[in-house]
Amino acid sequence: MKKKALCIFMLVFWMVGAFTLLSIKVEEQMIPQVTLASIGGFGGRDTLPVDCLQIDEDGISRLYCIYEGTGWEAGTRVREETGGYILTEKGLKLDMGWGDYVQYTSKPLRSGEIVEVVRGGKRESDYWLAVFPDGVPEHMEKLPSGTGVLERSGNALLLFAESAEQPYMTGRVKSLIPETAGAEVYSFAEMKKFLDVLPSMGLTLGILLTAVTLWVCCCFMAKEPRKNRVGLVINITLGLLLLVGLYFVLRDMEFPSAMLPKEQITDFGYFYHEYHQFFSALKSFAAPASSSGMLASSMPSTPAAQEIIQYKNGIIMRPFLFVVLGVVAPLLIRFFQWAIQYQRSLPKIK
Amino acid sequence: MKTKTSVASNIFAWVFAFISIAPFVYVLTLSFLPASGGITFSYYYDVFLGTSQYLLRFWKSMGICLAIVAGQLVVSVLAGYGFAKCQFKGRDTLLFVLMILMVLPLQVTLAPNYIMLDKLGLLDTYSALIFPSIFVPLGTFILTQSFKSVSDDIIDAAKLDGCGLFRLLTKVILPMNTSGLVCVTLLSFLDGWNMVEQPIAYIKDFVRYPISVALAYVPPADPTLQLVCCILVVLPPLFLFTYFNRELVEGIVLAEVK
Repeated sequence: MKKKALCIFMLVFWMVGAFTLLSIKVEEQMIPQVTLASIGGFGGRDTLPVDCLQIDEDGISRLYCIYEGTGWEAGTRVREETGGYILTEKGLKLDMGWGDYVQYTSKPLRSGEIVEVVRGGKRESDYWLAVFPDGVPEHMEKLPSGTGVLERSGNALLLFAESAEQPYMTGRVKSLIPETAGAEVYSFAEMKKFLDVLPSMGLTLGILLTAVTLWVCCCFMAKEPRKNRVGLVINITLGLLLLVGLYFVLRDMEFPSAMLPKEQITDFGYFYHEYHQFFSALKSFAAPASSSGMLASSMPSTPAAQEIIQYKNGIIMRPFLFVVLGVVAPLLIRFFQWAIQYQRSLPKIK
Repeated sequence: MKTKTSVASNIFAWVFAFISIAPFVYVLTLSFLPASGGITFSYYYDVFLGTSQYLLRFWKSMGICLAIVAGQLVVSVLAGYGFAKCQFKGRDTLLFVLMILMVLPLQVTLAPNYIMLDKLGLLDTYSALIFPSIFVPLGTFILTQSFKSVSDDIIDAAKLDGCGLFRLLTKVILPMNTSGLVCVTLLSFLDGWNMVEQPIAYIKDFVRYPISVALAYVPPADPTLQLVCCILVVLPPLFLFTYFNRELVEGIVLAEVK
């Protein structure tokens, strides 16, 4: 009974420790960055910009105001404005209400969610990929200065922005180029950040798998604790070191906010969809094989697009490698422990 | 007749076990069932991954409890040895006073403790939770009873061999009273883990509340979230009970027999 309880709760408490580290990171990363627009007050505006209306996945427009929470809900949070508003030529006119409202957001918002308010921000050059589910519009208005179309396919548009406001927010792009309103817009800089995070994600998963595999080994070894004392101590020490390792892996992990799902960071289907949609759209810019030769690599002509595809190709196998290593490494350790034990148990012939 | 009694006691034991364990099973089951229907793990995600608030508070409470346990063990071992094995004037009277303090309801000591902590400038700190709990007399009482079981001859023999007080305690007395020590560890940990009145009285800042109190403030909009928090809170006591159940029973029996 004692052994079983110790075995089970050792894993439980290790997991609680690991999930504490993970949850600190997840909480920090899942906070959407928002910019604000104010209404009312002394010298304040009497209307809000139309961009303040956030269109959700069901096509419903929502308006979010900022408030300070208390207790468990301490921090700056957003709440959906339930009061009415009318759309005028000047912008949104509220029936009643004043204060700060969300204008742009890095990812879709949920009512009650904690947010990080961004004021100002540097400008950097970036590439935007707009994917249109119903095809690229035939006619486009004159684009704002500093932006231009680099490539175009049936359902995607590659744009260049000389000085894009940071951090990247889809709403800003849609406001700047109204034709992209119905499209899903991706930033190359954000996608590169996402690709950079993939090995760390794999490593995190690898560490969790290593811990579980070591634990399984420990459970078997605990049947003969005297015989396997050294092995058990090694495995438990490794388990503790893995927690320290997890801390260091997570410390440098920075997810791009715009690439994160609305609800849960464990929504791997969402990540796959974004990744797949981005690179499929990039591939759609490539010349057909018939015109460039059957053995030509299907690459878009823009160097930036080629670069990110090559970067992806170089990095994509690493997370899988780490995950596999997470299972194989502890098994190898166990095998060596067993081999050393076996060697020692052999009769010594002088 | 004997068989009938045995069957009846078995049935009674099973019914009692079911009644005892039913709330836990109920909480565990409902933690997967949201009010909207279906089965979901999203509340587990919220508590264990979505936010660090719950887990950080869990570790904070764990830290407080470990400090209480360590402090109470030191105080109880020394005081218990004094009451059990040292001869001094007024020993029995002091033990009697200690027993009276033990039966006093917590609410009675709350106000004096508050005044003392205020004078010491410890209000609204973790020390306000730790210090008063260290001096709870139950540990001293249990260990006094437990130490009385050690024969005086053994102590005299150890002293003749040149054992000082520290070595006598660590090498002779304590190894002979592991059940009592485990019992005090467990009871003081649980006392600290389940404390509610003290944090409410001594601490104003919500951030410093241990998980036992903060649990009551979990947004009540969705009770399933509270149930998942309950699962988190029950983990340390569950471990202690499953791991130390034999010692706990032995320790309590030992204290009663004396």
